[in-house]
Amino acid sequence: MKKLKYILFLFVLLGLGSACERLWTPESPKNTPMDNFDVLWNTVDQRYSFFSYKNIHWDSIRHHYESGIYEGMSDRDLFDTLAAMLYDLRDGHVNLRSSFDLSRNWEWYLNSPENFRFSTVEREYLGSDYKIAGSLRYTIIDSIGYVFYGSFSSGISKANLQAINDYFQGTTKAMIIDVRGNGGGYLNNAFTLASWLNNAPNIAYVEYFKTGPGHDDFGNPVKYALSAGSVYYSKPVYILTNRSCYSSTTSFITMAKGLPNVTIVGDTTGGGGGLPADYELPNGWVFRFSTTITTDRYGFNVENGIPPDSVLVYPDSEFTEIKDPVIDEVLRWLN
Amino acid sequence: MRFVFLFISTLTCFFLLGQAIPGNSIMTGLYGEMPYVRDEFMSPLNYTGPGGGAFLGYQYRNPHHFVQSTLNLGGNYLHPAGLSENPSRLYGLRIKLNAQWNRRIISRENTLEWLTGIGWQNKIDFRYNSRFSNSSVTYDVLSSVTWSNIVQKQFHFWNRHWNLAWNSDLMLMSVGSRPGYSTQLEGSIPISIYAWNNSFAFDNQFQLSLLLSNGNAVYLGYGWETLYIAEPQKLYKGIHQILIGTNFRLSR
Repeated sequence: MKKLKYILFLFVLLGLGSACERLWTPESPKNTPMDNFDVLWNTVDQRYSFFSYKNIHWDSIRHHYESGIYEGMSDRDLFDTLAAMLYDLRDGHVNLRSSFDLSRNWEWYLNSPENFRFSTVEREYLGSDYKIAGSLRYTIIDSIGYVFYGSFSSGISKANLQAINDYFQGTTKAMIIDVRGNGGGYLNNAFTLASWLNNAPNIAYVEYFKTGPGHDDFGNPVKYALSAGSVYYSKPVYILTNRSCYSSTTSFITMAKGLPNVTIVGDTTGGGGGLPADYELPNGWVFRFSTTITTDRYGFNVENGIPPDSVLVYPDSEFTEIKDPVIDEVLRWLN
Repeated sequence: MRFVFLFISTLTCFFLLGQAIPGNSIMTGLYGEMPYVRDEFMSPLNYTGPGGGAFLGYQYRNPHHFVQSTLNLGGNYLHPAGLSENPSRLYGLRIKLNAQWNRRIISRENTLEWLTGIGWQNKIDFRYNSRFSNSSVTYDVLSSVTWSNIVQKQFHFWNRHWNLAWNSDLMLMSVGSRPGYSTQLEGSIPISIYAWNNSFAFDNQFQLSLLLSNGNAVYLGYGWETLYIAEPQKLYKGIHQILIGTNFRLSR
């Protein structure tokens, strides 16, 4: 009995001690420039996914920028220093967001020809009587179906695809899907659109998730399935791309490339193969960074973009108010 | 399959309430809470704020055994503790499903009792940060086997019968899930085994019940929950609760 009482007493002590959570929870980091710097650097160090692939020496980058951090520096100076450090990751999925600025590295498309002019597509190729199914604009140009999709953030459904199939049925001999300038959005829309072009179960892409704090700590590959579309377009499909095709758009191209009827035409996509995650700093700024690695079904890392099957890149001067040389060239092939 | 497992495991759950009422009874109640949370998947900061919810349960008591199952549903609204300039806010959703069985091991003059036994505790906590664009949801899901204890004493005061109980639930082992180093819900859901080497969970509650002449009871309680998970991303959680409830006796 005495022993039981002793156990009970210890149990009560443990229970009472556990009530003081502030004693055993670490203190939040202070809102100082160096604490903000440390949180950002450490989080990226443990969770960013492309250090090895891009041959980035994160320790050296810390040494380079740490000297620019000092007590009393202004918010803008701190922001600029942290933004410059993140810029070195060369990743469009990396941003630092404050109330006064958004840091970014958009070199992946700004250093390349645009290879696209939306107003020309809208006014000369879609014209005034095109149809819209969901977020897909479509028409028929010289017996070729033409579909323009501006953002994977805008929803599409199987009913939309069925409507386009019905419209193109018997009147088109091929289809062009134009995703130039499409910077990404929701992955489920990429799956929906890719399944339209797929008539047999396939691997969509392969993802490697970070499983530890080391730069190369990744788990086993996770293969995502691309199902055969219940709505299927069976004729040749040409997908137009440029460097602005990023993130979910690159995922769509990853899924579509290699399918039997599909040809990718244009420029290498922008890439963006890492699923991003957000984190916050003690001062309230939020940053995001890539946390996974994506490859296509053949093992090609898509972070820096997917090359087209046929390169069609033109200088900006060849895109006029009435002429899109990429569309014209594909139409010429098909006719 | 993992989702199915987690869902099914949470359909049976418990809450600690020592009671002196014999027979079958239904309990209902409301609680207010003040969590203190540090979830290193999304932030290095400690969050706190108000919350509340309701619970519903069933219990059976005979001279030797006590059986109980309870469902709790609540929410909370958290802000960074001590960092007023930080505009982040977390919206939390908490679900608990519990089951426990206790056997009386000490009884003195039929007024002081110690019951000990085993519990099955299932907790799901989601936290949503509206300022995040991608990994805006973080979570902790645990299905635990616990060592459950109830110490209670009946007494007479102001011509009324009262029962004062201390209930505790110490985690022995859990199967659980926390977001890892990548995104939260996409891809593979990390499932981990948690024990005392990588986690600690201990729930406590004091409860004062007024036993009514018709066999029912009303009670006031103060409790706290403690949870620490070391991996893959550290989680520290302390929750203080004040609750009021009623027990309706169904039969002896």
